[in-house]
Amino acid sequence: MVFGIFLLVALSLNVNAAGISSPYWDENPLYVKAGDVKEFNYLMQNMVGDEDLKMQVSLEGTSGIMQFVENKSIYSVPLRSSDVPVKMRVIVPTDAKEGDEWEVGVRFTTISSNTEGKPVVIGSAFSKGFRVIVEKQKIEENVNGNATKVLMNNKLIGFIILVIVLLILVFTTKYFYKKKNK
Amino acid sequence: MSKSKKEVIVFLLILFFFIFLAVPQVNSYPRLFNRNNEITGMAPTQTASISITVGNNAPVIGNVTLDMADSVSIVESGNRTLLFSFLVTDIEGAGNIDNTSGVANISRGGETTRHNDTRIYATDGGCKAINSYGTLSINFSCSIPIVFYDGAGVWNISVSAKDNNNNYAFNTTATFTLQESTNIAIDVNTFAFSAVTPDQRNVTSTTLILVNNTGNDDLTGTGETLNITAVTLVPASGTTFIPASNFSMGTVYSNSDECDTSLVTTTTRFTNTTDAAGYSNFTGALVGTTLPAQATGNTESLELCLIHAPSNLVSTTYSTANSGAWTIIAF
Repeated sequence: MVFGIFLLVALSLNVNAAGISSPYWDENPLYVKAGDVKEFNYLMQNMVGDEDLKMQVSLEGTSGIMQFVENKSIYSVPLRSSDVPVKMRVIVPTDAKEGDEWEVGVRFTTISSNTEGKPVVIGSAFSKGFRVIVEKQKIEENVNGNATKVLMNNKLIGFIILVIVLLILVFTTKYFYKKKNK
Repeated sequence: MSKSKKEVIVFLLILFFFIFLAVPQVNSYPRLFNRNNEITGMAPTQTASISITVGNNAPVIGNVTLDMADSVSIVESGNRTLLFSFLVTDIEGAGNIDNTSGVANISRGGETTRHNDTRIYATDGGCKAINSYGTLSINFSCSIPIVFYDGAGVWNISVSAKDNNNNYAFNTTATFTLQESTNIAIDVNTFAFSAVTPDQRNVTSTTLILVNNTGNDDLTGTGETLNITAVTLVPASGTTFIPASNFSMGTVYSNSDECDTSLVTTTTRFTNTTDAAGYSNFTGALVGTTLPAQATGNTESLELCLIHAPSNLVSTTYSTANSGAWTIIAF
């Protein structure tokens, strides 16, 4: 007995393509100070696909310091768009201490359309996370220039030499004068 | 030793002392000696009047200004045009600046340098002199393409121009930040199977899917592999189902390797070790996937396998339409 379980499908040739840009990532954390409120945008892209997309967004992590600025969870990403913003806000606790850090992030999931009659539909999702770090107080350091200490300048050296020469002349003259008088 | 001899020795010592003390002093006045260390007879210092006629002054380049927001994002699978401008100033007048001489490049360690440099690449076009600024300066506008796989981070901007006397000016102090962009493209968005019979094993899907890294995030390291969320397939009505744990997916698929769950480096079974038998969903890494951010070799083909069709299935369509799409996740 043959079951028509998954077949019957003239394959959809839809290209499911999307992407998310972020100004912060694993190697480029967000540095903040206690009490800071920072806003930035994730940028959603839909340049390669063949249809408009809908993207569902949800916060990841349990830090609670990041939130969506706009009160919506589904965004439209038109075909050939590369800069659809999702506005984010990071609110750093006022009692945060230097070195405190949190993992924050957002999950972006494409909402598949035209799934009627298709057995296993594959969508795509993107997890964009980064660390928020309360920065240590910067210590201004003068790292440029040469640290030199002038022990004696040339004028002083010249003066000392002159004094020595005069003393030698005086003693020499005295010596020969005494000898002559003897 | 007689006293007179002692006196001579003392006198000679004093004489040598003066000589050794004096020579270094006079040596500091080069005019006293020529290059052969011969006494020249010249005075150690002399006042002289010097008149120099300067034929031309090199131009200078002031700040380089981004003509777009910093930080910059790539364009998925394409080029983003970086726009910036810079001001060239020549004290001999803007007319002495070579309008066609503006060139630039952007660079970052480990990345291909992108350029708009007609001195090296004649077809680049160069930076354009767009307007005069006062009587001494010209504003140059410049564009350089950023390719989608160019690495995220801080990039340096270097610009140069010259005057009509071939005096060059450079500025290498400007930077911009390229954002990290995680992008994937999946060429088809459905897996399909031919007819399946209850209790059938190792049924391979009729379609491969090709995942392409179209961004600048290397999906290659630990924690950067593709993940998948697979959900149980259910019919529009009825109580039978095909759990996610009955599927596997492989990056190697010759000889039905995608169904061989002993190939733990290339085949992923969609089951969690804690799953009870029966209805199950799965979220986890797709082992063996590697999608570097680069021009070529940035794709991965995936084949799906139904390891076992449950023996109690009734004849109907089991699909994600009734339970939710599977999702390939890029971190």
